[in-house]
Amino acid sequence: MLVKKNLAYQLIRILFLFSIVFPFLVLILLSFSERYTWPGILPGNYSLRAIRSILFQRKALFLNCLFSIFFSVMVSLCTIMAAYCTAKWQSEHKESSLLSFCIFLPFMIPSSVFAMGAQILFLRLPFKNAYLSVFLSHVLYSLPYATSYLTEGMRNNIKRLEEQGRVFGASGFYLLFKVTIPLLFPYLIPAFMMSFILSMSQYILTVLLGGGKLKTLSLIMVPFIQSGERNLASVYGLLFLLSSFLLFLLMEMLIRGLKRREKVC
Amino acid sequence: MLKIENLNVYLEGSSIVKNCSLEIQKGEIFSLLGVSGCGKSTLIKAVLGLIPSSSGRVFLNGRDLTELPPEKRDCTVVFQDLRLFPHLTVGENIAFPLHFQKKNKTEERKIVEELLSLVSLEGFSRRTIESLSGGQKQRVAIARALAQNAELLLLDEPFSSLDPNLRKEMGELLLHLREKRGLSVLLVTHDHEEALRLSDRIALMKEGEVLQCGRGEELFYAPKTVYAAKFMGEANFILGRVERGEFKMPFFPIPNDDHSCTAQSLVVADKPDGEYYLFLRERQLKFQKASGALQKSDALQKSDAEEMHFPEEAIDSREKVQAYSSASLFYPISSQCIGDSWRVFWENENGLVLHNLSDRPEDLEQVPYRMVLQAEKGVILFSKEEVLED
Repeated sequence: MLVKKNLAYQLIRILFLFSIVFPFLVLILLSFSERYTWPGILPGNYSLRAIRSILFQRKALFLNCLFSIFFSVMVSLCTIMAAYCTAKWQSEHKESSLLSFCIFLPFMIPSSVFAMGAQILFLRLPFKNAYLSVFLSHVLYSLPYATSYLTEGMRNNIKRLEEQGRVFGASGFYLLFKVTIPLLFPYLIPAFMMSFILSMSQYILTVLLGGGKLKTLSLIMVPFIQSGERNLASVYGLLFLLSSFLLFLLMEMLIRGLKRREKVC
Repeated sequence: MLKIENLNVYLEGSSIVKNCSLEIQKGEIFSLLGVSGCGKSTLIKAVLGLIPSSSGRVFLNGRDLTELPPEKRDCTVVFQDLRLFPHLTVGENIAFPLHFQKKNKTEERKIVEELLSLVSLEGFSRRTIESLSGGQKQRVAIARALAQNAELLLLDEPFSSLDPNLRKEMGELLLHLREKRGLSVLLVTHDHEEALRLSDRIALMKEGEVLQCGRGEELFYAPKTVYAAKFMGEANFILGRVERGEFKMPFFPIPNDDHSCTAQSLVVADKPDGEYYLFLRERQLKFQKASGALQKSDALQKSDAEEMHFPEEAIDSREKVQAYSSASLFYPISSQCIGDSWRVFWENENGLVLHNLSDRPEDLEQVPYRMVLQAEKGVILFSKEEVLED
């Protein structure tokens, strides 16, 4: 029975890994292919055209990547702060079902409907700034995901430990940075990364509310998918993945560095 | 030192603490005793400022704390769940309150080592919290609270999750710290034995109100209510009657030297006539082997019997005398070990069961015994209605 369970577990693990690795392999193959048609398992012919054309405009591309990452990091930070306030309010008062419903609305409605509603709302607001509108809409869209992580984190006795900290004389930022954030860290990181991924991959909100002014990686990539230039789209897809991996790597190095510093202290 | 005046606390529309007034002196261990849910922890949190009070004041050394936030109240606390910071080491946990005392790193390290030594945890500074046992965590929590150097230490049932030996050890540590540092302590507990063992004074709470406040012996031997009497430990309640300033228990005639018997009577000047229960702790009741005279129903004089007032079940006074004479004889029926001594149960012919403490129950024989009262501190009576209500 145990042997059967282990075999089943191993099989599921292999299938899962395959489901992640296989599309990645296909992306790489597509990036180097000129013709890749059904029913061929491998591309018909290979070429570096797609990579060359991207490298040709590498300066602009680099700037666009940098802007996308920076924009999404800012969105994530803002989302985390809003999610923290929401989760804290919910933990200190009885979890309001109305508030939860409102926060999780973006989960429930289609993103195109959300985008149209957001556009109408931002058109009515006094500030008419494309960057701000896109920024706020990304935050609103990522908020339910981040809030769900932090609400879970708040259930782990954060309030009680904060109370203990306050009795000892801690308050304000000292309490936040010495007690709350370290305790919430295991939940802050996935909340941050989730918000980042959502913001980076946002297309409809960015194109509708930005009016084409914001050149994010998604905006550059999607037209190639629609036009059938799969090799170019794949290269941009790999770039997208690479930028996300880089950020993950940076976060990992930061966390390890902090842990090492704590051990030394 | 700490003065609480008419404090009221409401939570979610319910009154949790009702008009509470207490005073704690410097250097004393003061217990808040009561069942779970009676408002003890809420009172502590209101003193700390973690829960707002709806009315009343809290003073510490003359300073009004009522409107101050928790971080400015100069009180320290060990909660029941200890609330050690899991992301910090033992040393960092203890050093946490020291940050606000503007000490440099060297001084902090020195104080941490001193406190660890005080709680017998030398060398534990770099250990993580999850690697500690329950007792060690308790000690770290106490050391951390002491690091704050506050005027008042509040303990909210800090020993309730420990085994009995460890609880005793922690209690001794607390007494040792009180002697060494002159600590003033407000201890919240539901364990009356712990309160009696550790405290200078106790306040018994019920449903948000303080029922009685005083030294342990007062609450134990002279409780003001039946609830307090029952809460503070095992007790005997013996039904009798007050008439003209004398309480008599007609079931227990006491033999005189001339083989006559008179009803046991106790002087109680302040009680109106009526039926009352005599309250006795186990230590106030002894049983001696009955003399030969009392075993004979003829020994009781009829005139004495007529002075007594008997329940109506008996037929005539002679029979009553015979009945009550034998009813005053008790036999040991069982015993129960309670730590260092034994609780012995005694029963008379009428089925009344009393209990007292004995060191050697094996020496008791199956012969008649009679009850001997040792209520040196005065008679405590509760009305029949009071006892039956509770």
